[in-house]
Amino acid sequence: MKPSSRLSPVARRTLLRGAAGSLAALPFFSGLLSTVAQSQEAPPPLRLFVMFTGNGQHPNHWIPTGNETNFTLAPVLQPLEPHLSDLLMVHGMRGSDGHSGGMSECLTGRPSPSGDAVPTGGPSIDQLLAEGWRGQSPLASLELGVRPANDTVDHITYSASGLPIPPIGSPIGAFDKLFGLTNEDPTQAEQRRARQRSVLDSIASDLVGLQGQLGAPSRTLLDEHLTLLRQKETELQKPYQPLSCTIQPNPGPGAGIVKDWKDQNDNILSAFRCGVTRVATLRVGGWGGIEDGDWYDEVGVRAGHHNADHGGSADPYNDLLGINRFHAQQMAYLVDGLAKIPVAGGRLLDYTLVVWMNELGLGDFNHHSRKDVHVVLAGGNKTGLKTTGRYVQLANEPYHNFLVTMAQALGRGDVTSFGDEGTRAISQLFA
Amino acid sequence: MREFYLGLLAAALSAGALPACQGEAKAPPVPVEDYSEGQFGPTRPVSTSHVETDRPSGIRRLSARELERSFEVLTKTRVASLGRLPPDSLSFSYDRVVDSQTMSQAHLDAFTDIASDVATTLLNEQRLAELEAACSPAILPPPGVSRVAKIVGAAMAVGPEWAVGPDNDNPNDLRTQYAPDPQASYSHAFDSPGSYRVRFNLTVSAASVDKLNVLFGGQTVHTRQNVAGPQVVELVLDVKQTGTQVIDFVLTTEPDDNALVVSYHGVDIEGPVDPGEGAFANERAACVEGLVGRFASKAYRRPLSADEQARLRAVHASAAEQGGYMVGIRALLEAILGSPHFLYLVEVGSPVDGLPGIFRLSPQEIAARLSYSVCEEPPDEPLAVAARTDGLNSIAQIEGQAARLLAKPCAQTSVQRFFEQWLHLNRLPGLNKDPKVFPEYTEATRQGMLAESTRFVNELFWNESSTLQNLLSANYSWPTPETAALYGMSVSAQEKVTLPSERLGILTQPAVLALTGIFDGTSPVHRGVYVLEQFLCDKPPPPPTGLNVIPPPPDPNATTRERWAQHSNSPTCAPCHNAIDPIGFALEGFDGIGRFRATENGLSVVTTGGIPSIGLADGSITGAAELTQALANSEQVRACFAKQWLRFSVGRLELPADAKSLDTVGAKLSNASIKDAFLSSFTTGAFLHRIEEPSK
Repeated sequence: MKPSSRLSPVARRTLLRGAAGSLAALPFFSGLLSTVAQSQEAPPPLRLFVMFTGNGQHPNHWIPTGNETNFTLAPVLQPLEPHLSDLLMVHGMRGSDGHSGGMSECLTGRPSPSGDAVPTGGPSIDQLLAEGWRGQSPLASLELGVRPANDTVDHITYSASGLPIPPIGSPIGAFDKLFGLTNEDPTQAEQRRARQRSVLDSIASDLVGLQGQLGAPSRTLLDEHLTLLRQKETELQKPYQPLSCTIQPNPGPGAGIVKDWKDQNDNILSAFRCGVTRVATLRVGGWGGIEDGDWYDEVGVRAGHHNADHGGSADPYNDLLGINRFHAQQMAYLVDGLAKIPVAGGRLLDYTLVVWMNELGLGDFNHHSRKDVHVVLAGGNKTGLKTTGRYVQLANEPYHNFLVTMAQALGRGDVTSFGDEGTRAISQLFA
Repeated sequence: MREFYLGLLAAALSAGALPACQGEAKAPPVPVEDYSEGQFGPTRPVSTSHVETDRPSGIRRLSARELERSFEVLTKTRVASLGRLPPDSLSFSYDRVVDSQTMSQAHLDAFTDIASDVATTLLNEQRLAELEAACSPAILPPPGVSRVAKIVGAAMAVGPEWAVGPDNDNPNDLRTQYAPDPQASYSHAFDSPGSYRVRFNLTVSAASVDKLNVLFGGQTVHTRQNVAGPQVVELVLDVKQTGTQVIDFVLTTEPDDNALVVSYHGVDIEGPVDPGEGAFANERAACVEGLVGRFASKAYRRPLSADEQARLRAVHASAAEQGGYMVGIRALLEAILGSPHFLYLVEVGSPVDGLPGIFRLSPQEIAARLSYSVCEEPPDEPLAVAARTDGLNSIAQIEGQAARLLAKPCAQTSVQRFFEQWLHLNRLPGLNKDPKVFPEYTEATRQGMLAESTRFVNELFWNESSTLQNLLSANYSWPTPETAALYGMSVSAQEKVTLPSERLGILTQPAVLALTGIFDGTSPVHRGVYVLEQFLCDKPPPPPTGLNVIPPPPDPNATTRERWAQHSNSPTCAPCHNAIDPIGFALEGFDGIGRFRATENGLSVVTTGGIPSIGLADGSITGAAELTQALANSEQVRACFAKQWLRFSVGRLELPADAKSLDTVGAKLSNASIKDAFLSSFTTGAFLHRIEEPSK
């Protein structure tokens, strides 16, 4: 009989790292490899996680009562109570207005001027950070979604060329992407990589040939295609260095919003723990959140998020509360997971800045304004941000300064301006 | 200035009188002299308010649907991994509008996975010959990478059980003693089909074996007589399918000889091996040539240049050097199916003298555009031949090919998909309604709505050669039993019936009325915006920055219209909503799932309205029938429909240079069937040229 601890390959899959990247960047594996064990003394590099949900928040649901350090959490944020000492709630920032302006503004600081959220320039702050860290982890960034909508108006993250980056909406798809090379035989992997190099070389030549035949305005997509291909080629040029990290079981097929979200959170936790990436985003729905009324049935709310936000459901106040509390629970799950991963010098949470943002600000039903933009930060206390259980109310602070703040906290002191209006970091948020 | 000469070009192209010419295959379809400026009059400006300058334009990617069909046509393979592509954006209603496309890591990963999956399927199923006749399985090595599995005797299943023991000489062996007819088996997991070399290593002592039968899948595949002493029994297995299969080695002594002792040292299984190694060098080279030549031309929808062919040969050679001939074939397929020439609708064209930014498409490019417009799949053989042999050089030839394609079954699917996307019927499956308000809105009702409207557009387009006017104002339809109930009628099956007088045309069908309603009621704003965007191509601006959008609260003592009346009273809302709401007000006679109603909350429903943007002031019409009649007679609706078709058929938003081409199609719509108007679009300047907007 097999010993019970011997799990099947599916249950305990092992991640093989495809790209080189420095081992030192990956010091917090669960101790499978001696090389990892040796490097556990080095603190891990900083990480960023952005969670997006739609529609803003009702002030009564969100604003704590009390002062900066002594307050009671409002009902939506109560699921985060166990992590109070790692929180920083901020509001009173001034952004643009409308769903579409807010979507494109969230991470780029460049709101769309009209009702269509159009790419207004890139990169978004997450991509700027990812680009700076490219090569230090197998994936520069990881964009995931829960029931993500995919129209032009639905995106928050944009490449340097200004094109929107769609998320992977299927948890099993994301799992496959992250861990698809699981248990690949190194000889076979090398053969595959050699074949891919030759294939990519040919495809890149096709793209280069087209660059010579077409004017720049006609090649927007082709140019981006070539850029991405070159990145992949660079990765394939490096020697194959498999690295093992035990990850969570295969999530299996999707089964509703509760399981999908948990599975995507688990993908992100594994990706951060295993050093697969340093930048991850999770977009829930698109502008206006998840409109499909059925999807919140599981959490006891029979309403679409946008409809409830417009006061259009049976009990909009409580429907909205139920939806956003559920969202906060998901953030709490992720924060809890990060807090439980030990690394040199503390918890992985200390090195990971978690940000929850919306495309609208605080406001009563039907508001479409970003006059009072709010964010919830958690963890990342090694970034210099003072996320120690604080509630900071700013006054008319340009929201784009918050994007500068994120960049500087994550080691990009050179980012002194960002977006249309970002000119400085917000000093009140730092220790 | 640019708009001026583009307009001139458009005027020239829409004039349409292209002489049939007998030039070379590369001859331009339109003689250059037709572009001299003097021949053209002024053109109507096209509104560009919705064309955002930072959006991608130019070369578009094939939609997921077009890719799916392209793989099916080219490789006869249904590709499961297409689902890994991020869904196509529907920002401009259609899934193939370049202005809403993006390119990302997720796309690149999906393209890589898809090409790899298709190659794996074709190789494992040994179907390469379906792509290229020169690649018959008879001359090809097996698809899998050959491996040797060395199985020790101790890992075999040996019986009878009472006779089995360890071999004292070698702990990796097993031994049977005193059994006259012992047997050894091994279950092997075969990774791929093909020939496998099997070497069974045993020592027979104390007696001799009369007969050793090797069984595979229960069938005897090899027999050896008189086995004695140390022996290696070697044979080749023909493995038809992958997976775990059992090989049995059955020994017999005759008559039963109880003295028999057999040591089982193990079995080696090597494969899949290449039985034709060295024998088919020329045939295999021809297979590569066929893929590089014929197959790649089909995939790229044009002949490849010598350089391109050389590069693909190099892909094969370099991968074959690493992993063998078949790995080279796999790489070759991946390079072709991952190429932008396959994944995008690549159109380069040739410059038109004196008209910068205008490029005349080559015959192959016209063939591809035509085929992907009408059928959403690659050109068929007659079209490809026409493109190669001067068969697309005149208006008449292009029209002939377009008419031929439009008669194919694939066109029925694509035309239906155009209507579904234009009318947003593709959004019906995800449409929920409050069951407390609309208990009748069941899954069957939802499907009935879709079935009725789909049947309606198909009948009108194909069987009735209907005009756009009739689509908007027909007093009949094909309701299902579920939708007939919403009409207050009863039918036993879907059949053509005359509708109650309050209903005319597609806008009054339950599908559209439900789509434009909201969760628990109607919304004059949603219906107004829908008509403005889809039928009048007049996109209302969003609410002004900083405005708190406050829809009227539910009120059991007021009609929807009364609740929305404040729009027209508010100075902030009125400028826009005075253009939007009157359209929706005229449709207030239908509830959120399309039932006719004379009252709401016990109050009379007022259905006076208007279409201010085409000069019909609020109050000038009453009810849906008058509204749809006004739309049916509107030139702006025809102009908009021409734009909608251009967005779908050319896969981009309209540009100023399209003005005359749009006029041509719009004019056709006023006196001919929708089908004929579509046909006329394929010979307009917009369709036969690529327009490259200068850098902003």
